[in-house]
Amino acid sequence: MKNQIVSEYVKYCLKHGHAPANVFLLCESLEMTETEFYNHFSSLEKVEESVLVNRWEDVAARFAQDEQFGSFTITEKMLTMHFAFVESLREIRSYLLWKFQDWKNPTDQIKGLMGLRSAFQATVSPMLNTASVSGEIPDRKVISKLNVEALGMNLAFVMHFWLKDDSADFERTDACIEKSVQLTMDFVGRNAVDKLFDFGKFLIQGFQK
Amino acid sequence: MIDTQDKIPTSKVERAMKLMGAGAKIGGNYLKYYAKKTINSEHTKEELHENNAADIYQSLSQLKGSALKVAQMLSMDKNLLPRAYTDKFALSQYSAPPMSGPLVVRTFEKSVGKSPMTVFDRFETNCTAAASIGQVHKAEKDGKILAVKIQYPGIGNSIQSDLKMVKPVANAMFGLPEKEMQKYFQEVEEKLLEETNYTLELERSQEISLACSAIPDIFFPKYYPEFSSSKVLVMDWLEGEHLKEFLQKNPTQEVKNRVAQALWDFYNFQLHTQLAIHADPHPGNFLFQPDGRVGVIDFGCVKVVPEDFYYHYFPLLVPEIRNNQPVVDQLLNHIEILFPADSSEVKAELQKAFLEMTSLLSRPFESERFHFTNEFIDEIYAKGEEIYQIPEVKKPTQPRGSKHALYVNRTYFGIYSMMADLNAEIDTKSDLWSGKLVDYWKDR
Repeated sequence: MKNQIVSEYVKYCLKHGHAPANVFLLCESLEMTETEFYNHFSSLEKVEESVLVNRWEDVAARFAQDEQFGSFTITEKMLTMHFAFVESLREIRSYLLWKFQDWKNPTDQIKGLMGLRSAFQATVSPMLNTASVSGEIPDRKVISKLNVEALGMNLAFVMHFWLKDDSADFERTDACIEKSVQLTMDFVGRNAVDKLFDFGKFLIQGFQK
Repeated sequence: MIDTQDKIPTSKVERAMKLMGAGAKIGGNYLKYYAKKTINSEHTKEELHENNAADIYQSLSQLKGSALKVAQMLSMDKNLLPRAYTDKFALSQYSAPPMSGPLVVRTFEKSVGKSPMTVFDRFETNCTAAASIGQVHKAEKDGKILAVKIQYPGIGNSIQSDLKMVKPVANAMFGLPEKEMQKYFQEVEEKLLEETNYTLELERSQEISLACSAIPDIFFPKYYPEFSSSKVLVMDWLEGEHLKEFLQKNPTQEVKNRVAQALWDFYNFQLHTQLAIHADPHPGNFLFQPDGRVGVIDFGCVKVVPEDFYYHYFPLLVPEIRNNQPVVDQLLNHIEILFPADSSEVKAELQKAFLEMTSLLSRPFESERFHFTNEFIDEIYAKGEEIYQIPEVKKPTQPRGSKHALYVNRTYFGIYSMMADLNAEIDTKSDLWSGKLVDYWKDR
C-alpha cells in the first residue's frame, strides 16, 4: 500500500504539474480514505521523501544479502550501488526533472534530499566502518565522519549530472559515476593526507623531547 | 594483471592540458638537444627523438580510447615517424587503464540485458587485456573459454573531441597545417567511429572469417552473436603469443616462414579478392602458435577499398604498367599525387620519387619468392627519408595522396615490417591479381 501511495503521488505531480495541495486530493485519486492514508504516512512531505528513499532502500536491500557484493572492495561496493540507484531512478526520470526544477533554490533542494541523505548514511556508514576496521580505509577519527558526507554529496552530484545527461542510454553518467566515485574514494582511502599527519605527528613528538 | 591507473584525466580541459604538457615538453627536449649539441656534438638526434617519444607516450597513455587509437595509427605508419616514436607507441598498443569491475558488469547488463554472471558459467571481472576502446574479459561457458570484449561507456562521444586535441600534436609532428590534413583526419575519424560499433564488427568478423576460411594456417575465433551487442562482443578465447613473445622463443626459420606465408596470403586475398582489408595489423591482433599457425582477431578496423581507387593505385605495383607513361600520368593524377596545376619541374620530381618508392615497394612481387630482411625495410625508410627532402613534400602547398591510401599504406607497412621481424622468405607470386590490373588498363 505504501508503494501505491508513493507512485500515485508521483503520477499526480506529473499529471497536474504540481504536488497535491493536501492529503485529501491525493486520497481522492487513490480512492482511499484519509484515515487509511495516515496509517502509512503522517504527511505529504513524508510521501515525497519516500519517492527517493524507497528506491535507495530497495537498492541497499538487494545487495545486503548478496554474497558476491560482500566480497567487493569498498570502492566496488560504492560503484555498484551508485549504478543500481541511478538505474532505478529511470522509472521516475520525468518526475525528478520536474522536481529538481520545482525546487526554486538550493535550500529547498537540500531539504528535499534530506530523507535520501539519512537513508544513504544509514546504509553506507556501517560499510565504511567495516572497511575501516579491516584496514581497507584508514581511521582518521573525527575526519572519518566526513567520508559518508562526501560520498552523499557525490551521489547528489551524480543525480544532477544524470538529469542533464543527453547521451544515448545515459552512457556518460556511467562514466561519470566511475570517475567521480573513484576520485572520492581516493580521498577516503589511504593517501597523502595520512602521510602528512604522520609526518606532523613525528615532528611534534620530536619537539616535545 | 594490468595496474589500475591512479587517476584518469576527466574533463576535456584536463585532457587538453595533458597534450599541451606534451607539446611543451617536446619544446624542452629540443632546447636540451641544442644545448647539449653545442657542448657535445656527438649527442644524437636519435636520442632527441627518444626523449620526445617518451613524453608524447606518457601524455597519450593517460588518455583513453581515441587518442590512444591515434597513437596506434601513427605508430604503425613507420615511414612517417622516426623509429624511437614507433617503439614507444608500440607500447600503447598493449595496455590502457582498466574499467572497474562494477562498471564492466553494468555495461554488459545494460547492453546485453542480462548479467554476465548469469550468461556465463564463469566471468572474470578483472580484465585480461585492454583494447584501446574497451577491454577484454575471460569467461567460460559449457567448458569453452571465451573472450568478452566490452566497450568503455560513452567512448563514441569523446572520439571527436579527442581527435581535435590530438590534431595540433599530430600537425606539429607532420609539419602540416590543420586545414591540409582535414580529409585525412576525417578518414581516421570515420574509421574510429566505426570501431565503436561492435555490431558492425561482429558482422565483418563473421564475413571475413568465412571468406578467408580456406587460407591455410590462418584461423579465426568463433563469434557468438547471441551474447553480443553494440557494446559487447563475445568470441572464442584464442591461445597464442604476440609476435614479440613468439620470436623470443626462437622458433625455427621454417615455422617463421610458415606464419609469414599465412599472413601474406591472408592480406593479399583480402585486398585483391575482397577489396576490404583488416586494417589494424598491430601486434596484439595476431596470435602466433608454435606450429606456425596464426589466429587473427579484431575486425573493428576494416578498410573497404573503393574499386575506383583499387584500379588506380595498385597498377603502380605492376612493372609493365609502371613503364607506360600516359597511364602513369592518369594514375598519379587520379590518386592525387599530382595535380594539373603543378609546374612541370614539381611534376617530374614527384613522379620520379613516387615511382622509385613504388618500385621499391613492389620488389617482393617481382619474383616468385622474396626474402624480407631488415635491410629491405631500412631501404624503404631511407627512400622515405629521401622523398621527404623534396621541397614539395617537406612543405607541401597542398595535401597530396588519396585518403584511401592512408589505411592501405598503414596496413602494408605493418605487414612488411612484420615480415622483416620474422626474417621471412615466402612465395610472393602476384600473377593472381596483376593480370587483372593489366587487363583493366590494356584498352585505356
